[in-house]
Amino acid sequence: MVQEMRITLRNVGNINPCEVNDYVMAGGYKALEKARSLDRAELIAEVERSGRLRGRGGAGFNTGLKWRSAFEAEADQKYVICNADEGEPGTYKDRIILENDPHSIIEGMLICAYTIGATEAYIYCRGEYRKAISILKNAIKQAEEKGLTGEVHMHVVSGAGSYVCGEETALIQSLEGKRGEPRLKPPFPTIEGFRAKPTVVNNVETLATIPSIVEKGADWFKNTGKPGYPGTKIFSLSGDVKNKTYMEVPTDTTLRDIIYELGGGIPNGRKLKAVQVGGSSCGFLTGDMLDTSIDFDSMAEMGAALGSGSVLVIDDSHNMVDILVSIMEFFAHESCGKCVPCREGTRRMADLIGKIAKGEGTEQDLELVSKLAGYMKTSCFCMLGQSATTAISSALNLFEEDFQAKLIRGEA
Amino acid sequence: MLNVSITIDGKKISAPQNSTILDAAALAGIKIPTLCYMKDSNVKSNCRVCLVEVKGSRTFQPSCSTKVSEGMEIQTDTPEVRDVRKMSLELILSNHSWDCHHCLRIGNYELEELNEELCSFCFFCDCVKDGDCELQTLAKEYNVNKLPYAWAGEPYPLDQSTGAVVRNPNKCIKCRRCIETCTDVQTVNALSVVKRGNKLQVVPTLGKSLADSPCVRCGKCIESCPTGAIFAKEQFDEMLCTIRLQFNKKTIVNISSKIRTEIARLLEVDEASLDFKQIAAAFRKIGIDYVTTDEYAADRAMEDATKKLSDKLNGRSNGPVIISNSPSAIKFFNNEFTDLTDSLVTYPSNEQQFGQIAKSEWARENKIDPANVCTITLSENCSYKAEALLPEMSTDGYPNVDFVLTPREIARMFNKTAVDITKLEPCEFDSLGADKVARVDSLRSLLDNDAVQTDGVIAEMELLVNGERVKAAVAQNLGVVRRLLELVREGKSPYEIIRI
Repeated sequence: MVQEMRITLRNVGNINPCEVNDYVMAGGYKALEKARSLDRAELIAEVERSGRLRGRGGAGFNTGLKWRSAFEAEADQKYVICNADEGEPGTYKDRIILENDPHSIIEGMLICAYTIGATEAYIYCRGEYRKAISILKNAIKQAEEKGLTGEVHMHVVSGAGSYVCGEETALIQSLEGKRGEPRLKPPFPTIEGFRAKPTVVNNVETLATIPSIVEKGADWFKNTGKPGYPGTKIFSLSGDVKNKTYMEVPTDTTLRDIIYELGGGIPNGRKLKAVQVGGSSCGFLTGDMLDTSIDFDSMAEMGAALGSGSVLVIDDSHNMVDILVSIMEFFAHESCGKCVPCREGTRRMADLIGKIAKGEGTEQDLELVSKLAGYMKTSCFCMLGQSATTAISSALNLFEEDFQAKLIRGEA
Repeated sequence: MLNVSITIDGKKISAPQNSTILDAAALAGIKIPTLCYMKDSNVKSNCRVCLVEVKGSRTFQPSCSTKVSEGMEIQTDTPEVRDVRKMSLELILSNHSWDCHHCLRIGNYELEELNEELCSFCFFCDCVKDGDCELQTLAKEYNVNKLPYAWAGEPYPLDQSTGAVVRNPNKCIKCRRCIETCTDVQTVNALSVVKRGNKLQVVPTLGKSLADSPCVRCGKCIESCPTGAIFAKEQFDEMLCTIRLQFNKKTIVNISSKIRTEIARLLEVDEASLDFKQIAAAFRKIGIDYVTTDEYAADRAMEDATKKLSDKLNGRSNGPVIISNSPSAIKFFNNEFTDLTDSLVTYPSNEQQFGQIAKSEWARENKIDPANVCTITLSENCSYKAEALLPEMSTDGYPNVDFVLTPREIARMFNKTAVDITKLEPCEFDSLGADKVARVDSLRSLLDNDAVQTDGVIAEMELLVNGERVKAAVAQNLGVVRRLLELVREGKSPYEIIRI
């Protein structure tokens, strides 16, 4: 029997999130104390040595490297930003941490701030997470009162409701009060980020994992899960699965275990048709691909992605084109409108898929869908547009018969 | 500066380390198409037309923003690259008015099937930028003739509220060049982006009409727009009606020699071979009664300015004198620097001065009722169109200037009225009364735009006014005007005269 392993979610359900003392009693803020007694370079080495803690937001970038880059950049002011703009459809792992264990995030941010030498820290929280925002504000106040924040000023900022603001440069733009649109990279945020100063932007889950690594040491962390992507990962299950819930498992767990063991399998005696791991911007997997572990690289090898760790289970009662309709409408709605391929492409794609789903599409429409998907992948400004059509390409690859079934057959 | 060696289209070249692929390619004589790119402004990389292939890169890279690096291998013109550029153009055009690439009149939507000779007689397809549009040029180059997508239509109304700067949002390609110009160069901040995805729009501040925004009608956005989404209001149809149908009207046009270059460019004729007097002949050909040059009016305006300036300097208590005859600079001043109003001296623009002379002295001398004088001036700057509409710009109840035409309108008018300017015999100008005043030259260096080339910086000079040496500064773009006026406001201006 597969078991959950709660490192990041260690306190969820066990403490009162509105009481800092609960967190301290549970061993909280010890890591911060330990970190502050260490040399900064040593601390970064420790995070790096953790066998590459990789960002849990979706891109899987090495956290140690990010910190080192910001640490080595010279500036009079540096910033730490927690990316809590959780917007990927079907993903709710960050909300669980934000609402149940805010101090683990704050502790992670304070460790990061100490490490890179930042005195300003921001939590950019999804605007819809009102409960989380008030919990965070309360937690920051309590941490300040207990003198835990030291010289670091912490702020909570509400997002304004745009998916693209989860992209770190767009998040920074939004935080600066500008339009939420991605910036040109380079310069990367660790060199020129918020207010053109070195900035580390980390995901909620990444930051909440930091205290455990600092406290228990890199070796402990390295030995959990898959070596290339060690540690645990939180998954949020949704769709045609019995237990629509979140779970934290070591990264060497297989997808089959997540869906059938922890998730309880498919309800109503249906069979599994496809799984979309990582959110709307990721590809699909079929039933015969479930025995791979869910770490970042194994998923990438399968042509899918781990992404944010959402698991959307689709049973065999669906035609994939119908699933794609809502995915494409989502991207057409969330495109910021900056670049041509995404601004016009997402809309056209949503129209074309909608047309096919209604049974009005032709062979030419399908060709255009395929061409447009390839074009957007290589031509859009940021990852939103580049990955908006991943699901379509993947569905075309794996379930072409679903598209064909919807097309109008031309008279011979 | 250090150089790096790169390969562009198989050609090994050495390029400065910090240059973009676009600039490096230009050094190698390779032209990469651009659309949202505008020299000397922030790089936006929105349009994706300048995408190129960089070896080892997962995606195509925008050449306007990607810096070269040692050993980089770049392909600028592969079939794949051309294909993605074409797809971007198709997407843009399927959300753009049709009047340039899609002839409804003959039910034909393939560019190559359009007959150029037939087109030149057709008045249906009528984009103001026809023939001078960056999008149209690219669409032709990339053979965009059939759009694979359903046309998005023309959902937005025209904004003609200013009477000078007109916006057609249906032709906007959201490149944001106008916003850069309005915000960064002119610091007027009249334009911004609202909404997102394909509902994104460039609109005057807070979605109001241009007239209700801080717009000062400087027309710089028109210069920066690659398509026909922002243009100077066209008046030539109305003017031709006046010439041809109102027989009691005497029409008089005032031409400045400055517009010769632009007219030659728009008419695609060699500038050197275009005689200024041929332009006069062209105006006579379309039926204008009198054609004059702008020197006399300019001298009169300068005489007025000199007198006002000298009076103001004599009577002033402290602070510099700000002098202007530019309608957009005066509007900008009135929008943002009303606390300095006491220092402002205004004098007539050449356009207004001409109109005023024509409807008073000139009309009397030629025994024409001022009610029957129709005045026309030519100017590259569309702010004079807005100025002509102001109620205070009139003499004895008649507006000083009836029509202000831009070079683009003139070129379009000549084309539509079949005036072949190269074949016309040059003809002499009429006199507005030039032999009567002595020219006032003492402040020419300050007041004549030709004498002052400011080009975005503060032009400083020393002048002799009332026997005193004074320090003066001239600014032509409004960003510089703002800097100068803020100095005045803070009491830190080193200048005694500022012309804006």
